[in-house]
Amino acid sequence: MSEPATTSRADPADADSASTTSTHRVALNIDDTDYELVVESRESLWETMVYRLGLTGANMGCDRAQCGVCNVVIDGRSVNSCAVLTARLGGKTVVTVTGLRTGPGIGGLHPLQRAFWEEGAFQCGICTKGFIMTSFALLQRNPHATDDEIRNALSGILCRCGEQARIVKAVRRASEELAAGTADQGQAAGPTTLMPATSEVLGTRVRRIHGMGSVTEEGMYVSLMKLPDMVYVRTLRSPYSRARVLRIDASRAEQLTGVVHVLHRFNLPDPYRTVSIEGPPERRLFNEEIVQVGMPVVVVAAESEHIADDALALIEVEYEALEPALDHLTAATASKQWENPLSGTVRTVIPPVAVGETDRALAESDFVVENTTTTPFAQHVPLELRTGLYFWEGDTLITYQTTHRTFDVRRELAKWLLLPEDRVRVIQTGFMGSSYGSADQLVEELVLPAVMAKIIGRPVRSMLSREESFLTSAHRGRTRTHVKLGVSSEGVFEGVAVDVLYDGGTNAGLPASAAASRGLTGVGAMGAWYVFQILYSYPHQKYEGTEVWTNNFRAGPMRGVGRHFGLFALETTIEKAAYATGIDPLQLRLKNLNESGAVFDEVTGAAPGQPFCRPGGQRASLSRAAEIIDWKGQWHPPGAREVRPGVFHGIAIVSTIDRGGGKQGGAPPSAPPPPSSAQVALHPDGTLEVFSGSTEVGAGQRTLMAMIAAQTSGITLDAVEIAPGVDTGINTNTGPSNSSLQTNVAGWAVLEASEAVKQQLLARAATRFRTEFGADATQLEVRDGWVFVRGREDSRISVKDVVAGLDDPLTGTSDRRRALTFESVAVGAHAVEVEVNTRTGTIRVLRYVAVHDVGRVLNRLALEQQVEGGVVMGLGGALYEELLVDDQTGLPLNANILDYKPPSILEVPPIDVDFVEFPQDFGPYGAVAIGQASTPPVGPVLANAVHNAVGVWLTDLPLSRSRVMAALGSEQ
Amino acid sequence: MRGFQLHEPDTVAGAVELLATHGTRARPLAGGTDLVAGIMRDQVIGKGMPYPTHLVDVGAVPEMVGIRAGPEGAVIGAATTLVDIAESAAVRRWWPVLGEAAREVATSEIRAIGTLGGNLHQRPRCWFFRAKDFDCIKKGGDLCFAVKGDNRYNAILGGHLCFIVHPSDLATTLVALGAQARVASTGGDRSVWFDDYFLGPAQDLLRETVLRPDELLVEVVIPVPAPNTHQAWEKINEKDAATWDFALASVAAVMTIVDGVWQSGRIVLGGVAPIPFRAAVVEDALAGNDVRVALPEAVAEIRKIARPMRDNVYKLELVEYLIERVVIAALERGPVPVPTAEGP
Repeated sequence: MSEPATTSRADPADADSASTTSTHRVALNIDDTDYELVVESRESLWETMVYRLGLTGANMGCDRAQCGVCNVVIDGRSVNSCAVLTARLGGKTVVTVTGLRTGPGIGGLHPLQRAFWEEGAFQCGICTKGFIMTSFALLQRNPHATDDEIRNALSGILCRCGEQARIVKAVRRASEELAAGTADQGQAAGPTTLMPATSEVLGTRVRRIHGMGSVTEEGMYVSLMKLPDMVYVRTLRSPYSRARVLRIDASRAEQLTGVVHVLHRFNLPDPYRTVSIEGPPERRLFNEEIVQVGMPVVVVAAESEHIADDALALIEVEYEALEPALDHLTAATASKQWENPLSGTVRTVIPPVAVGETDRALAESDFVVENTTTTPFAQHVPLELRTGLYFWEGDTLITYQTTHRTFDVRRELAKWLLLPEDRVRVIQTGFMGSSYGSADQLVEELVLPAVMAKIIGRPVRSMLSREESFLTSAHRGRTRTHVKLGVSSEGVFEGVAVDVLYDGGTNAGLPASAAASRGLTGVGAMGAWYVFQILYSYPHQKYEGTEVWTNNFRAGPMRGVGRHFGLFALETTIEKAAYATGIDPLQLRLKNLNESGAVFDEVTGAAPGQPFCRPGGQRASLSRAAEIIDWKGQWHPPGAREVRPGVFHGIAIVSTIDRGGGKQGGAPPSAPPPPSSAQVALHPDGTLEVFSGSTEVGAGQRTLMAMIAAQTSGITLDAVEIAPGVDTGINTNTGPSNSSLQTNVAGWAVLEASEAVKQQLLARAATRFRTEFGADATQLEVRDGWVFVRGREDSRISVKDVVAGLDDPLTGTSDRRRALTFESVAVGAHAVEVEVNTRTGTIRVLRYVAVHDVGRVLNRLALEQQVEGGVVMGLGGALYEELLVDDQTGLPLNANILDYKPPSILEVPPIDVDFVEFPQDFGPYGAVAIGQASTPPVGPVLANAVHNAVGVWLTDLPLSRSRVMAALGSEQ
Repeated sequence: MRGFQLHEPDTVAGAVELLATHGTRARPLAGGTDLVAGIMRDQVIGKGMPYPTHLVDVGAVPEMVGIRAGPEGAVIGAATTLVDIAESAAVRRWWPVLGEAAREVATSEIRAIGTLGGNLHQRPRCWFFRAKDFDCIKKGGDLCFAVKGDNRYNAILGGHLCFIVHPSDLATTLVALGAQARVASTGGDRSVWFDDYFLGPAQDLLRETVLRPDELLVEVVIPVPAPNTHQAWEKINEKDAATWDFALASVAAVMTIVDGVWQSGRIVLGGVAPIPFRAAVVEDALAGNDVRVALPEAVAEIRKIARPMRDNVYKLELVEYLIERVVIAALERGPVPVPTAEGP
């Protein structure tokens, strides 16, 4: 049915719309400064501020008035600065976060800015300015706004890191301070740091060390940056999910005034033509054969984004449409791997991993529960538009990137640009509108602007549109999972059989290159194995998986790989088993916990693989969550509690797990662990400077490194300095900020380097202590900035005193690869109470409880935030979010924020977060990374609570109204 | 985004002159949240939907901004912002159905710049229409992709070749209130009842209102509610809360009820049909009856005329539920007061 259709994407009737653009003289005031400007009709206020004036008081999230990130206040009202045209703002007064400050430093911050920072009302900070400005407008009109009024006013702004509750708290606090006149804005004697003057910081709540940048215009998100003489690129992308690019006519675009260069596969310079990014399916810089919607076809560089858009409309492309494979269920029926590699086929059939005799065990069980669950394509929707700035100094590429994998990006760019790694320098500024895994697999979008910058010899800025972010980043793959669970009448699990079908899109699991380097295939499906085998014990287990290649989105990590569908399948199956056997769902789980034993090798099935003994954490988490939600008091049989006509109460509890910072996605024990390195310097003025390649994504990686340095060295946290960003020209590789490994990997390195500095400090202090206090070097300790004699704390000399007069700083380094083990497993339990409206299918979450065991709590604030963020994103995925693909064309249907429907502040329920601590040897100070343990349980705990409320099983995510209504309808 | 010429007339006469000059290539510009930040940036264009190369800014035309309300009714300028309507004491007291709808449009940011006219004239919702790479019949292409594709949010009533839904929260209330549009053009002014203002695809596939390209909505005239008028409005979105999510279904009810018995009135549905859909079958079934008694059977009348598609049967159940809910809410609230010269 391959249609030899051709298409022209040009719009000849609209030729040269640039010539119709009008210019306008406008006078306006921004942050107490008057501007007289001449602007184009199409220029938005945000573009004027950032591109024309270099003002950075508003961030950018969608350019469609759909996210609120760019909000500013105009004449007293909060508006989206992307949606207003500057030409229409004559005589108006614009206020951004810049205008709220009365002076430099913390003392000059507006009470709202200070409250957001102190209350921890952000993680990545991309939405913070928008929230602050809308709150400012609200409090101007309504100084005593109630919590409900605050939530309503802020409901047009998204926060993907999940800090909605803290945001309300911060606004309320600022309003109280303003009303009471206790705000100390403008006080000369304000504090200069929010960091505590102690070294005993682990386990406490420490605010973001670079929070100043998040609440003001100072944080340099790459999407706010400009370079002198910079050009802008925009990309023409394939509307076909499978096609051949036959002809490109860009002549009219090339002639357009302001267009600098047009790049496509027919004029790509020679060395780059041969570059193969990855495969199969093969990706080159420009493919002849398009394998998914949104692949780049033409890149235009121009003096402005607008001119580049004008140029795109003048380009004609002739495609030969080819038949795509869009349905993963059909694709899975192909029998031969890579029979037809470019039209949908089975990519990997994972050899069954079997322990014991599962079939026999199931046949002999008293109960066999069967469950089939599905999960959709999903997108992270990080709120910063992915941006890169590129320029060449001679033969060296320098690039600023919104990435959480600074060193990986250097490696990839070097490979794809045919350069040695030392000729690529990647800078991550420390301010990034987060990732959640979305920036893991940027491919053509990463390298094409670099090629453009090389060709034209000018700096290039590339900012993806929101739609492009949806199209080009890797997505959570679509899945279907069959589970059979055998249970005895006493409630003992006898055996489990799991079969996963995973739609890897154009990328089954990890990038083929990464997978190959670890000797892996089938990572997407296998990502679920450990969820099953670690949480509960079954004497007999069997796992099978099939990954199919389709012409859909690239599959990749989203808050982990495999965890979410694995846990959804597992925990809904166990819930069914509880009701089948008549055993309390909590008790059934407690009865079958897997607290010690051996985990078999996921590739070979050989057991025992890695022995472990982890008593306590899982049991304690379940018990604590049950206690907080009052499981005994609130649980009831399904459908038994109608709270209002047609509205039913439901409750559920599930386990959760993540393997953060340990083995990555099914990697065999032989796979090389990531590098782990850091340098620490104690300067003669007593400040401790930490150099770490740990990339900040908003989760507080840099703050944690500073905390570990303070705790280890004994130097107070307010005297620890760490730059916000990472620069491959300065820092050393300590692994990417993914797979949740920074706490364990980078954290250990900082600990070791700090320990080395501490030893030198003690050595230097030893002589004075011998003479002044008669103490031996082995008796010395450091705490809170003082060296002292153990047990005689008044026999002390300050660290500053000890190092004063040093010519060179005392330095410590750490550089090694730490073997990763199964010890790094974070477990937990989530519980929920919901109300389900049987007429409207509404699921309203009344209360959410999340309890986690992370070994030891390091930064309690950041940890609570990570849990909250995971729960909020999990709620979106459980209730609303799915990226839909038209099954005829492969085109996305809802690749924008409005239609993708992430939850607003009004849909976020109260979330109780608590921790139980069972220290493990693996991580620094007994900690393990929390990782993404808080996202996957949200889907199953809600589905189970809906069953408890109204007695129907929902096994497909998201749990949309129509699904709830359909399930209830078929029950009747 | 691509270029356009921005015109900034000071008067309605100047605005319609510009519209007449530039014809189908011109569009009035008010808040611009749908036109500029939506349709134009997303390049929703086609053979029957050219990219607008001339925008006529009516946001600052003084004749088009403001609310005058009193014993003769209300006149609201088309360029009045949604927040001004939502916060108007007169609207909230005498035409609460309009105030409630205005208060729940999109987000507070959009209500701050979005206008009455813009809300009525925003382009319809249908993700095939809104995505640039589907050359659908609404844009001048050959077919409606929603017929075979994912149509969970498409029309269940009044679709014909094209199954868009009318997204405006305010349009249903104006039909329910029996309001009129005052329309200007170079050829003179005319008034159009909102009953006749909106066009479905059966009447015109490419336009959603009766306005010709050279015509401009200047103001909306709302009559005084009769004594014993009950009013209510509500919507249901996919997301739980009513923020920045278009209605799966909305209902505006304006009814004269005496002693619980329906005298006259209008029930108008949003989000389920290509136009604000007057549920005449429900109104007829209620006429002369005790509303509470007749309601369940009256609501079921919708089922007889609805044509749900593969994925949107649930919208029928939702709209039935919502009609009941809104009518009962209006009843329980009691009659709205009659406007007086003293003001709200």
